This record gives sequence, structure tokens and C-alpha cells, in this order.
Amino acid sequence: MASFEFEGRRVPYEPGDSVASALYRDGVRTFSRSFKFHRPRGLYCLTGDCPNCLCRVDGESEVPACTTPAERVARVEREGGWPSVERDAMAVAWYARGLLPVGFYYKIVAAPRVWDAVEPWVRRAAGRGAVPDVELGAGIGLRHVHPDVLVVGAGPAGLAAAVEAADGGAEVLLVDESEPALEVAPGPTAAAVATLLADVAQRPRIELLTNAAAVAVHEGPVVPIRARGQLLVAHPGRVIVATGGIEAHPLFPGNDLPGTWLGRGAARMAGRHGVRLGRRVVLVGETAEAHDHLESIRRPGSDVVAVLLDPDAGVVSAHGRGRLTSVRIERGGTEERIRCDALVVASARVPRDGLLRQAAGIEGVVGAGEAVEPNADLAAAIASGRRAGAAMTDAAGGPVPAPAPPPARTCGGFACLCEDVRTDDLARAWSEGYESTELLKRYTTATMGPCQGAMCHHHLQRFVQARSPSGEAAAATTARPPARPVRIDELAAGQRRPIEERTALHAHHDAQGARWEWAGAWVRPSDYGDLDAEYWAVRERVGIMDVGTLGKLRLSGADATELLERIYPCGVGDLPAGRLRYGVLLSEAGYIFDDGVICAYGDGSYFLTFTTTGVNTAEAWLRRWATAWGLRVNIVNQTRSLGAINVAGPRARDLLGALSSDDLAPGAFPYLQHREIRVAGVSAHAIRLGFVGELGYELHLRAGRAAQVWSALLEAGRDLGIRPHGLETVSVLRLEKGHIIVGQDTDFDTTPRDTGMDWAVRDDKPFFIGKHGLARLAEEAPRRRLRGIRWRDDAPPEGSVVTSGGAFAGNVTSSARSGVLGHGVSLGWLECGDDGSVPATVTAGHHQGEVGTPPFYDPEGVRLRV
Amino acid sequence: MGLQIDCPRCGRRDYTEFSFDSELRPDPFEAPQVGLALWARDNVAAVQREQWFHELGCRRWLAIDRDTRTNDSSGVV
Repeated sequence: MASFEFEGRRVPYEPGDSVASALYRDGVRTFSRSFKFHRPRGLYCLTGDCPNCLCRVDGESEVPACTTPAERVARVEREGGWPSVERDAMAVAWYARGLLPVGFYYKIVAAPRVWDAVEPWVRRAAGRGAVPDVELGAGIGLRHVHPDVLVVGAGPAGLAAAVEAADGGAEVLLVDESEPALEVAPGPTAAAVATLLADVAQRPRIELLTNAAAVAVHEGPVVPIRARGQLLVAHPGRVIVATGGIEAHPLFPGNDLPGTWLGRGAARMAGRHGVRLGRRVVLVGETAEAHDHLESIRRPGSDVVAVLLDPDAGVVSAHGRGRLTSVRIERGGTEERIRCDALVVASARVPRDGLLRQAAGIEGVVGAGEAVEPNADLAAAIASGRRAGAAMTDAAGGPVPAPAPPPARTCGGFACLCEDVRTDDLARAWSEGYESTELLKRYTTATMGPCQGAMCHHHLQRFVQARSPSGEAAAATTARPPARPVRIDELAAGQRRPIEERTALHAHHDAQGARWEWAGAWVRPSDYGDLDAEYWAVRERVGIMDVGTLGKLRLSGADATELLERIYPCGVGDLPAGRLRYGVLLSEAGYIFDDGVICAYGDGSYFLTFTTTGVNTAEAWLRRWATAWGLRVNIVNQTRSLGAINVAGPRARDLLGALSSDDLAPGAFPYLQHREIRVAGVSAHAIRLGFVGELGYELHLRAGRAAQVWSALLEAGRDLGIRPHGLETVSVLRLEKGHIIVGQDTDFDTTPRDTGMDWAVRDDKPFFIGKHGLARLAEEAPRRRLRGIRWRDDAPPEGSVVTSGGAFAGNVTSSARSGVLGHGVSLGWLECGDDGSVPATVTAGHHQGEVGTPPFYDPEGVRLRV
Repeated sequence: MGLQIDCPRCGRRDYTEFSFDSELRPDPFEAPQVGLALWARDNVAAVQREQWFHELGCRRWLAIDRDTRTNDSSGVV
């Protein structure tokens, strides 16, 4: 027989069992411990509404056992008790309830020393569940759907609505948080649901999704739906909310004892799962359904010792230690006590209207069935669904005036099961001045638990109604998403990047022992295991680096030059063929958001590079302004079609010379020029740059040939002492040159002036994006400057705060120990004094440094021009 | 109705393929008050002209008229 693991043993289950029914059949009676007093709680609603059966299922906390099919589960544990749910030492809280009045923590917080002492205990004792110990999977997928009509709830009303809407020509999405065929107890309703389900199955226009819970209704309407393994976002033309009603949670002392059931829950357990509720059952019913329930409950062999269907009869109190053993009932004006182990209360229903109340004021949302007409009989519910499906209801969405639930025979017990709020607590809160539903909710936290008020909201309203006849204070409280619990990874659905981008050289790096790091969606070598060797190879001999992730755009078209002149703050049109220039991209406000180089071909076409993570934004930026200004420009994003290798170091020319017959002499191919050359038989676009401060060539070539050239370079450079290097090394090399990394050394509001790069802006240009912003900012005194710091010894970590004379002076954005200089160097932001100056010396912890202007290494740039 | 946008090159697609940029202005740099044209928004509850980027499609910029109350998009201008 199939089984799942439960707290160290196997629990068998039968086909159609939920986790709850399998456990109950196996003898489990206490399913959880309550939020505050650690009272034992047992199965109660079986509709996924109450908090009593929330268990840890396969490592995930707070899963309702009653609506989770057993066949999908491997391991179940109960939550909330210490040392166990069965025997919970923290249940002593109930006996200390006099010390734990409603709002007690507000009162304790008012005395801070007391709070400090008790906080660890309160934190440990209160609350539900635990952070899952499971490794998160591949992330939750996101699917957008556009049905004409979305029907929430596949009960009689919802099914009828879906059929009617489909027959009217609409594409219908019908969702139900459980399995509609299984959740209804035997009886006329179940028969009607079966018939309607068959009707639905015959209509291809209806898509029925089970185990799919609508959790919110947003403007649009937009309805997020948590389905199995994915989040659906529905954008329907109309929404029909047919979430049904729920039997009102009855109030009497002892109303939370395990053994107390709502009528539909009991009927489902006995009638659907065939499990005997107990030996001696008492049934109290106010509804027509109670007769059907009675039949269901009797079927597995329970002895129903008392049936109270008379409106004058009711429960006074329930008794037992940890489990129901007797009830006191009243009928015909007399009270009597009956020994029993199960009490079923089939009270009148209240609407399950959380979604509808959220939808207040949103067009296109209507309710149907018991969600708007609680206690409607089966025929009325179906008729209501048909009207909604045929769009004959003119009711807008929004709060439904909740009909007053039946008067309680007595009062007492727990009004809110989730948060352990008793009627006494409500009375006490009222006496402390919290005299409205909204205030009671905030102070007692009633309605704020997992059920989101499904069980208790109407109690709050009735409680206030009885004391404040004006009515306003008893208004329904604001319903907010989510109507059902949502996992955090579902909130992040669709956000996980599905792609790990790799360069053409990925396998080579792997073979060479690369350690990886992320740059946007790209994985790039961080280093190859020997940082010192990688560093000194570039400074003394030659090193190569895969820069294939660089953003690469090719621009052509009659207006390409015009566009770039307007985009870049530097000159572009004056670049002769074969020249290149560093350029920053400025926002309209004059702030740097990306950088790269502009290579001119002399025919009005260009090759542009951008940062690895910035190219998508840069491309959109160029396209946006070309469109806005009506400029004729063709843009091709070559980021992924081209590979790129940076060859740098004093022997770089010797290395390339060994693989190329092109003239690479300084006079023929000087610094800041670019050429097509052939390297190892592959044609490459070579760019002479100096990001790392040495003689260097950036080779851009077809991605498919990159590996061939990479291997040839390593082979030809072996005698020169070549080494590949990763991001770690390049970040030190460029730091020694004072070259910034946009996004690391810059913020969202960094101007070229702030970074000391005024030279990147040509003020005499009549226009470029950001010129207005820079002109405005030039009128203001600078607040801070990006400067270099030479440390006496090692450098403090990146991000460190620096001080001057004991006062805050700024922070470090890039930091490393310089190999050639033998001490630490940093780039960092320094606050300007009133006269615009920055401190000459700073400290960061025990580090002492001198402020200066980079570069730290080869300030004249001799080495990169050779 | 959930927002879908008629891209003249790709067809009718979910708004999630697009990124919203802003209300569309004629060249803001030509406006008498550049700052206002760049950053001030009318934020109307009515039909407004706005620009979207078909980021996960043809990567072109589109101008559409959208009713901010209903998301009805009368299509590309």
C-alpha cells in the first residue's frame, strides 16, 4: 500500500486521500499547536480555510494537509510544538494566559528592559512554521494568459458560470484551488458538480485548472494564480468570483478542541474519505445541508448520539483536556451534557469574499453563488452562476453586504483560530478603546493570520455591531492580497534568469582551471588559480583575457554620425578613419551610465563598445533617440556574434607579430587606432587600447574563430611567458591606471567632472544629451570627487569608509594591493569642503593614505603608447 | 483587459515583451523648459501617448495611445 513518511513512521493512504484524511485514519488527532497558547488543534474545516491542519510537507512549511493530495507527498511533519506537537511544553502558555493579555507585547515593548529579556522567548514560542530547509529549485515559471472570462472557484456557481460564458462564445479559464470533484461531500451538491464537470469537459472553450488558487484581484483586472509549479497571471476581460461560502465558525467555550468539526469538513471526511469521525458524534445543524451531512457521517459507522436540527437547540460549551470528551447542549430550554468524541456544527454560511472585497471599485469583476448570496440553495447558486456567466449581472465588484450570520447561542472561545484571539480578548481590546473593526484587527491581529479572515472576519463585524449601532465602526476591514498564502519564490516567479551566457571560449577556460564569477547573465573567469602570476605576466611580459562579453554595436546609415554626436559628450564626427576615442554615455541629467570606445571607419559607420552589463540599455538608448529624432541609422548588436580577446603587456606586439604578417610597428599602427589584421589566419578587428596600462590590442573576431586564435596565442606566447588572466587581475591592473568601472566607481548621479574626466566632455559642442544637465550642475559647488588614495601599506577593503581628522570623509570604491608599487591603492569618493577641496590624507581603520590624482602607475602613459 | 500591444512588425504581443519608457513628448530638448519636458509627467487618467521598447521582440521603439484607466491600446501611432 502506498504511504508517506510521517515523523519517523510510514502512514498508508488510499486513492483519493488527502494528507489530512490519511493521517486521521491513522489515528492522528492533534495536527498543530496554536499560534500563541500552543493549544492542540485538530481537523476542522477541510476546505483549506482554517489554520488547524497546516503541516510541513516535503520541507515546506504551512501547507494545508486537508487540500494536499497524499499521493503527491513523501514526508509530512507537524509544526509548532516543543518538543513535539503531541506533547508541547509550551502549552503552559495557556495556564499563563492571565500574563499574556491581548496586545501584551505592545505593553512589554513599552518597557524596553523587560522586552530585551523576554524577546528571545516570545520569538521562539510565537509564530508558525520555519524557513524551508529545501534547496530551491529552478525557480517558478510565469505564464501570462488572456482569457475572455476568468472564473474563480469550480463549485456549482462557478461551473455553471463557465458553461454559460463558453456557450456565449467566450474563452474561459476556470480555476479551483482544490479538486472540485473531491472536495464536495456526497449529496445533491456533489451530484450537481459531477454533472456540471461533465458539461465543462465537453466544452473546449473552457480550460479547467485544478489546484490553482487565485490570490489577488488587481486593477485591470489582473489576477495572479498560484498553480502547480508556476504562477499564472491572468488578464481576463471579466472575472467571476465564485469562491463559495464557508460555514460560520461557531463561538462557544472550547470551540477549538480537536474533535470539533465544521459540517462540510466532517461530511467530507466521513462521506468522501470513508473515515469514521469518532465513536460518539453529536451533530448540530442549522442548514438544510445538515441532513445530507448526517447521512455521510453515519456511513463509515459512527454512532451519532445526538442530532440537533431544531433552531432552538445549540451548543453551550465543549469540554476535554486536549481532545473533545463531552459537550453541553441546550434544547427546549434545558441544558444537558453529552459524552462524545466528535462534535459537528453545520452553521449558516458566510461568504468567502476576500477576493471580492479586494476588487472593490475594479471594473469587470462580479461575484456569483454563495460568495455573494451565502446560504443560497443549490438551484439558486447555479442560477446565480448562469446569470454571471451570461453577463446578465450588473453588479460591480466590491464588498458584498455580508448578511448577518445567525446569532450565536453563546459567546466565548476563540474568535480567530489563526492568531489565537478569544472573544474575551476582543472585549478587552474594546475596553481599551479600540472601538472599530479596523482598530480591533490591528490591535488583536484577528483576521491577520493564514486564513486572512475567512473564519473570523464576520465575528469581528458582529462584535462591533453589537456595541456600536451606528454601523460605520463595523464596516468590513480592507482586504488585501494575497487572499491565500503565497510562497516567496512565487512572488519572484519569472525573475530568475533562465540563461547562463557563456563566451565562445568557455570550454577553454574550464580546461585551464578557471574559477568563475557572474557579470550580469554572463559567467566569466575570475582567475585561473595564480593571481600573482597573472598580474606579472601582463606587467612584465604578455597576458590575454577573454573580453567577449563586451557590448559591441555596429552603426551605419546616413545619420549615424549625427546620432553619435548628439549621444556622446565627446567629438565623434572629427574622428578620421582608423581612429578611436573613449566615450561616456550621459543621461539627460548629465550622469554617467555607461562607457566604451567609438571606432570610426571614416565612411560614416562606426564600431562601438560598451560595458558587459550595459549594452542592452545602451542599444535601447541609441535606438530610442534615433527614433525620436527620425534619424536614419542601422544598428546591429554584435555582442554575441563577435568574440573578443585582449592581448596586453610589453611583449604584446612580439606575440601578435609572430602570428600576423600585418605591419604592427608603432608608426603603422599607433595607440588609439584600429585596423583589420589577420591573426593566426583569422581576420580580426584590432583596437589599440590601454585599459590595463600596457601596450595592448583588443581583437574582435567571429565568435566561432575565437577559440582558434586563443589557442594560437597561448602556443605562440609560451616562450614569452604568456598567461591568461581573469577579472580579478584586470580590476587591479586598471585600478593602478585609475580607470573607472562604471557602476562600481560611479553612482547613479556621477558626472564626468566628479570623476576627474572633464576631458571626456567637449563643452563647445552645440548639443549632446546631458549638456543641459551638466550646465546646471556646473553652477553648483561640487559635493564630492572621485580621487585616488595611496595607502602606506595595504589597502582597506572595497566599500570601506574613510575619515579625516576623525570625521567622515568618504568611501572607497575600488581597492587592491599594487604589485608594481608595493602598497595598496584605491579609488574612492571624498567629500568636498566649502572651498571645494578634499582632504590630503585619510584613514580607514588602521590604514593611512594620501589622497592624490590617479593614475598611480605610469602617469604619463608611456607604456601604452609604445 | 490585460494589456497587449500591436507591434507593426511582430504582431499582437503581451506587454511583458515590451518595456515602458515614458509619456511621449516631441523632442524634449527643443522645449522651452527642457527640465519640465524631460521629467515632468502629466499622469493623466485618460488616453495618453507613450513610448514602449519592444525589448524581447524586434527591438524597435513604438509610440502607442493607451487609456491609462482601462489599458485599452488603440495601437501604434
